[in-house]
Amino acid sequence: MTLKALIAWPDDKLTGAVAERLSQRGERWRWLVPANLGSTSVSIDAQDLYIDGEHASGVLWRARPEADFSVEFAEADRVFVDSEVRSFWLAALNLPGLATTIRPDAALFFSRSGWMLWRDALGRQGVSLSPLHYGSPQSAGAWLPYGTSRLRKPPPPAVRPQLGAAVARSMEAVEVLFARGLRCGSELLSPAAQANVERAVRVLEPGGLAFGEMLVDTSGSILAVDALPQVDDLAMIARLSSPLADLISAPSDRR
Amino acid sequence: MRLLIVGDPQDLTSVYLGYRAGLRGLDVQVLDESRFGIDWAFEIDEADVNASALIVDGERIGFGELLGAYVRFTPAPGVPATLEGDPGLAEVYARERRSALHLLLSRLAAPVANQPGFGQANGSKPLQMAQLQGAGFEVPRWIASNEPDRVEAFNSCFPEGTIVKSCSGTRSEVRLFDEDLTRKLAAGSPPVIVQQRIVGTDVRLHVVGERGFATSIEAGPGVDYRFDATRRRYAAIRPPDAVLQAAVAFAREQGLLIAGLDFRVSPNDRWWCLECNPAPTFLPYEMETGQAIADALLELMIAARN
Repeated sequence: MTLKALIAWPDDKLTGAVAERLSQRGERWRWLVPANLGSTSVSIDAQDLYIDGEHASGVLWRARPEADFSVEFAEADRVFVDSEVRSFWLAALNLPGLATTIRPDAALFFSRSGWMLWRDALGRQGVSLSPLHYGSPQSAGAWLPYGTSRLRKPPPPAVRPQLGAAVARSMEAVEVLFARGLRCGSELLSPAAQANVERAVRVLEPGGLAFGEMLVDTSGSILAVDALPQVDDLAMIARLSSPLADLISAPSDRR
Repeated sequence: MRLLIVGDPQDLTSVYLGYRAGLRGLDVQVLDESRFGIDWAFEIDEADVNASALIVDGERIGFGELLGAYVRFTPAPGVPATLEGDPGLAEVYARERRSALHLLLSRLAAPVANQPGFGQANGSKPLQMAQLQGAGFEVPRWIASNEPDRVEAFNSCFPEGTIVKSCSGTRSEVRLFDEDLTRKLAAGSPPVIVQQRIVGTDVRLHVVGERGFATSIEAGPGVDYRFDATRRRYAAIRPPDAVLQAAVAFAREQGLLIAGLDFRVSPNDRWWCLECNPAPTFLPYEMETGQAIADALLELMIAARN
């Protein structure tokens, strides 16, 4: 039985639940804390990932690309080590022999403005998007910073042009988590909005995102996608743990 | 029609491209990232696409008036004084501003060389080598690892030895594999790439649309010509048709109007592809060989707008 790697911070309850689920199934797993990835023994070739010499067939990736991966290194080396680790794991997550919750595009890892990329992908495939106004908008219901997928109170009008701010009409939105066939939150949406969410999932899954969260406006159009959602609700965690364990245990379909 | 020069106005390649555009009578508009939101801004309303415009010194420039954009960003952008307050927040603001420029460029109807998100696998050498191999290039065998035993075993497979380079796009010198590496790995190191060494000549192939400009680089005895200024000499050469076609197809597939592909050509004329740079500094190659790379890029943009 091959190893499953869980890359997450120690307090990530969702990863804890997935680990428990894997144990119940008799799967072997190892939890790697992002801060220590720089000193973890790893190798990849064109096909496969090895951790401490052992073949790993699945990865649950829960670390933001901009995380610190190098706490065990000298301060002067950390920027370099972070960059090397980020680059290594970007390649690893795209290996054909690996089952993973995310196969990130390089731009997603390096640009730190993830929702823009996913939103553009959805728009190209005809998924209904909630219109945003970018640049120097005078009126704004909510601000959607490029580096997050959460609506915020708009910045002052004088500052908006300097941020090229992206603003939405309203702060009202519904969060929908998706993983395999599971949807958490979509029950709050109209049938038409649920259909739009399904269209979006059919674009995101083959595009490399098997687990994530969508921000849906009150008309059912998609505002943003978060590829690394924070999940704290215990009931939701219990529902997600099984499909996520399935995702990283399944044989890769790209080998 | 205006050509936008976006990002770092001090960048020499940008300055040169602007100069070549001026010689052709094209208007050049510099959009300095450090002056974004102060001297210039933009409006994009997805609910009213006709309202999209740049605002430069109070003048509205519709996106339809643009010939294209040439983009060269500085690695560490600053923020205006109004956003400087908290150093932690200043970094966040700098990233937000850069993302906003990415958004702007992605919404232009005119050609952009290059869209900042395109070809970014260059920042992860193992990922890009997999892409290059998938595109049909010959890529020297490699592993990425920080396990001493594994890299030693890999190195022993190659009579010509192996070279060592970083996984990321960080500029670092390529070196020959030696015992010092295994000692460093054993002491604790992030993964490095260990790759089959190819003895031969370095070639940079710039692709601009369907056109290719190949330059051979004759350097000193070092492994990495970029770090070896002695006896460096550039010469324009003609690449094999199959290599050029593969390079043109790869750049197109990546969405790159201009790309710089690095090869090592072995004495038996095998073209081994090492990497593809999505933001190539073509200036030294053009200056040394007279290949008209900047003009080719301008002609590509003009043709696209016609």
